[in-house]
Amino acid sequence: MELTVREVEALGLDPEKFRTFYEDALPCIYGYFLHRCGGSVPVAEDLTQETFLASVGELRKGRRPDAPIPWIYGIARHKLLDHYRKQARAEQPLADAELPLDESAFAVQDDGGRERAIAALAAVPASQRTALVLCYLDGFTAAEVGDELGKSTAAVHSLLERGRESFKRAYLEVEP
Amino acid sequence: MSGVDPVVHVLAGLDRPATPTAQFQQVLLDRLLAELRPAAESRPRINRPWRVRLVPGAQWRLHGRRRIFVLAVAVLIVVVGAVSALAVRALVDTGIVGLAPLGATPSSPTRGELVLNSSLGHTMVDADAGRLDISVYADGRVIWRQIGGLGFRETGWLERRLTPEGVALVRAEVLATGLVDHDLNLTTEGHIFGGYIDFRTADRRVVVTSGENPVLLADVGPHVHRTKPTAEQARAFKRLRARLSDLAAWLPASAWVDAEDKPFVPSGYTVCYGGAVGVGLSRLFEFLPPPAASLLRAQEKTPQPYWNRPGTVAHWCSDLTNDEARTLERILDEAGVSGVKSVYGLEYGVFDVALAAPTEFRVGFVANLPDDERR
Repeated sequence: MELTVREVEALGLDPEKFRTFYEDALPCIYGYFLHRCGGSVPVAEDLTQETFLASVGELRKGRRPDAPIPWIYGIARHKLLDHYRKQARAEQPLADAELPLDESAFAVQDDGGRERAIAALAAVPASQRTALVLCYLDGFTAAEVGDELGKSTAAVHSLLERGRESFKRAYLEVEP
Repeated sequence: MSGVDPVVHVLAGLDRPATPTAQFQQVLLDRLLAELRPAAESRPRINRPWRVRLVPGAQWRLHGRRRIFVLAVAVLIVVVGAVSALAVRALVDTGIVGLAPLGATPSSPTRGELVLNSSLGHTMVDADAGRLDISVYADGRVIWRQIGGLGFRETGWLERRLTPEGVALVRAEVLATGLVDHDLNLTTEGHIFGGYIDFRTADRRVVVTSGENPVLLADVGPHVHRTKPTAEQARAFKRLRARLSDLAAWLPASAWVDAEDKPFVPSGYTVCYGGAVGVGLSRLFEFLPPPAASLLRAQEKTPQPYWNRPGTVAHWCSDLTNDEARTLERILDEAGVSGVKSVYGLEYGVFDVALAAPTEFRVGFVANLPDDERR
């Protein structure tokens, strides 16, 4: 993940230092959640808030991260996974769709398809979405995702395969 | 496969920074700086068990020896009250900080039948009103707390007591909203608060959820189609939120057995604990002080299988009585484990197990409420 923000050397409890860090990190963290949670502003706000509060909690406990931006991304990723996990618990079990998928209808979109893609990602079942996000947005390997989720690499590949199918279906169902 | 699936390209292009509203930025920054400030000012780690203020308006007009005598009696009353946790005539700002003090009488009865259980907030769309958690029981108890919110006092669990008439009036108020005719799953459009209303009568239970916060919705959310609230529903939602947050403003005096907030004293605590990624329960117990591990192991009642992975509050839980909880607190204190008391309860160890080092752990104490479903 390319970072376009500068990192402060060491984040302490100095309010001014924290303010600088906040200004740098906020758009990244908010964008991170917004695009992974269906473009929902309330959810992105809630998770952004939880992430920064957790970071402050860590700072108050004496943690002094050398690289604050990757550090807070780590917290954000954990919050996101927690969010997905809870969504998965709330989801009704869904049978795999039987309808044939018209692969030709799905094509790489220009920027105009961005909102459509965000909506489609939100419609993917949470367990599959977790794998898609970690692999294709956050850049982890299937083995690393398996470690994170307590699943075998083969199980992650299966999730990715079903996730890609679900995403395509959802994408084609979303009104352009 | 000859090429990369186009889904990969589409998803990879999604990531980019985004700017939240200026109001959200400022509100959150203010809150974070406020959170940082106490640490920067080296606030004592452990707060007093009760935070009280004197009854406002009490004027001292006595003089001489009589005044000294009265002062001495007052001091004695305060000391005895603090020790025995009977200082309930003082107005309590925050409820219990940390665990229930020795001698505090638990709220009675231990179990209660829910009439209403609601948790509404956070939204920052209009303003950060924090979150109001409130439970009304058939026996008249109203147990509530306010979490966060600009301009609101943050409290632990507080208790008031309604008469049967008061319970009936609250019930009627909820019914009059028209929101609880059947289960609803509402979006937050119309700026309604996120959360839920769980309403019970003798023969039915209706759950209304709003928002998309899965923390709140996963456990209680009805699996009904999500809809946008009508203007009428949004108004009713806001009105109910306002009414529940200030019952004293609209309930008559006859509705109250005791309208004054007192700290809710639980009958016990659910103590949950977890460690770093991949650390199982038996390994975790090795990192805890042995007496703590023994105590927790004996009372372990994890409600469902948990497994340890990042991003989750990976934990196991034990049900402890107040005495057992205080014993565990003493064990952890004596072992030098870092702990923080607050209106939310008591927490030891790392803030977030997802960030824990291999031998680090977290132990959190949460007060049990009278309804079984929270336990």
